[in-house]
Amino acid sequence: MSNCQLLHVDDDIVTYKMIEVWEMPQFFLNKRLIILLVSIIILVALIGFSLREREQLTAPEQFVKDTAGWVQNIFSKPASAVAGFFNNVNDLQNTYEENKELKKRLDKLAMLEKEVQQLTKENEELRELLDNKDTLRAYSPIQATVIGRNPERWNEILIIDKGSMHGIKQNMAVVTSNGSMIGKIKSTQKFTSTVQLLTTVDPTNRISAEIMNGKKSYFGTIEGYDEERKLLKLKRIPNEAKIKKGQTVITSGLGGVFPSGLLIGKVVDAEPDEFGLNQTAFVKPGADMYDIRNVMVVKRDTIQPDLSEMVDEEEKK
Amino acid sequence: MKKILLPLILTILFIFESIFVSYFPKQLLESDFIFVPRFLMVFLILLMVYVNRKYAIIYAFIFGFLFDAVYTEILGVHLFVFPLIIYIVSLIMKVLQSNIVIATIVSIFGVALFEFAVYGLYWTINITNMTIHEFVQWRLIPTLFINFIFTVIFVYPLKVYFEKLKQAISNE
Repeated sequence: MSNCQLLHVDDDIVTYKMIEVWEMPQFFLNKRLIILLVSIIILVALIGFSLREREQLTAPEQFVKDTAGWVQNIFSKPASAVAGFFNNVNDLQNTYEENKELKKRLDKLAMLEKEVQQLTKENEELRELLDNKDTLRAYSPIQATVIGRNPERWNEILIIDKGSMHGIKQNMAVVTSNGSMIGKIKSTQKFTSTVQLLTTVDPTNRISAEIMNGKKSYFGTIEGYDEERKLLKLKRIPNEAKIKKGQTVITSGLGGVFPSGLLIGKVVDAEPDEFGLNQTAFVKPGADMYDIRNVMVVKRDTIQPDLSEMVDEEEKK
Repeated sequence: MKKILLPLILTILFIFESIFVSYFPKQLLESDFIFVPRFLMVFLILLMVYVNRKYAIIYAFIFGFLFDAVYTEILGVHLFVFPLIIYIVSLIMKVLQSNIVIATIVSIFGVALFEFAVYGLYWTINITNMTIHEFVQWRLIPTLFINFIFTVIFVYPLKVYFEKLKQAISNE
């Protein structure tokens, strides 16, 4: 240290300098550096805190989200009205061609409807024979309107105007009005909830899925999203499965929370995985992830057995 | 009255960013590009340039926290990056004149820095796997483009408003 040079000077100055050097090195005297360091520590702590798998957001966060949701509600209604008007004008331009096309399909529809009726009836009868009333397919929908979206679109998040008060719980499936799945509930507040879209790069975003191929079907799990190709990855399909382009992928209902039969998308192509034991299929999402106004939150009717009930009495002891 | 107007404008911008991405007609342009509105950032940088740094940094903290809590659910990222960018840009502004062209260029520069910082943080915590090349091509350039248009349209009216605000503050 350079204190040695000071030894010749007045005693008072020497002691003063020594104290300064010992107690606070020059580095820490810089106020800005301290602020920067402290904020980096806070940043890391906060990120670490929010990346944990959280059952529920903290109370202040919920309060902020609900308040913001209230404001968003005020703004989103006029915005959607204006957007709706322009959509209508757009639709009017194509009315003639659409009408022609629709008339063609109408004839086929009548036949299809009859067939569906017969099949439903038959299905019910067979179910009664088997004495098996609830299915994984049955669900009750909760209608909701989208009031906000993450502007960044790094992790794709929607905010909807129904919350835990309306019976929404974490991990419920969210579908568009035509029944194709778009995501799941990430968190709920009293009056609003957050939807995480399928197209988010999140390895914990898993959905048990099923590829339909005529009478046979193959099972796998949707694990993550390929950002570059903009396709969902359907992993763990057995090697002997014959996967072709255009096959439909639906939820299997085996994962626990989602009902079965929700459309996920269509297969684009498939390849063996890195170990060659399974196959990975790439799936194009069936729903338009961009143009989302109204959604349904799907509540499965089948009762989910509580894990704590499944533990034996003896094991508890 | 002037004091309420500032947080009100910021709140409207905050909500408007989300409405913008929900209703921006993607058919207008190639749909693979991702346009991220950073109007709040542009507004805060102009606030720093024309009024003062203290105000801008305080509001950057508040709205950074709101952004994290409401839109991303990952606390800390915007809370940290918003004020940091204001601070860095304010250092640059010390050597530059604050005319309208410089203000525009500096705002866009701030947005670019902001995007890089957020991308870097998200890349480290595995929110995204985008390579830097894809990031620049699909995100950064469209984002700068849309924010440049916003800045060019609003820089003059904002300048007029901010100068009045500064006068009101210094009169107190």
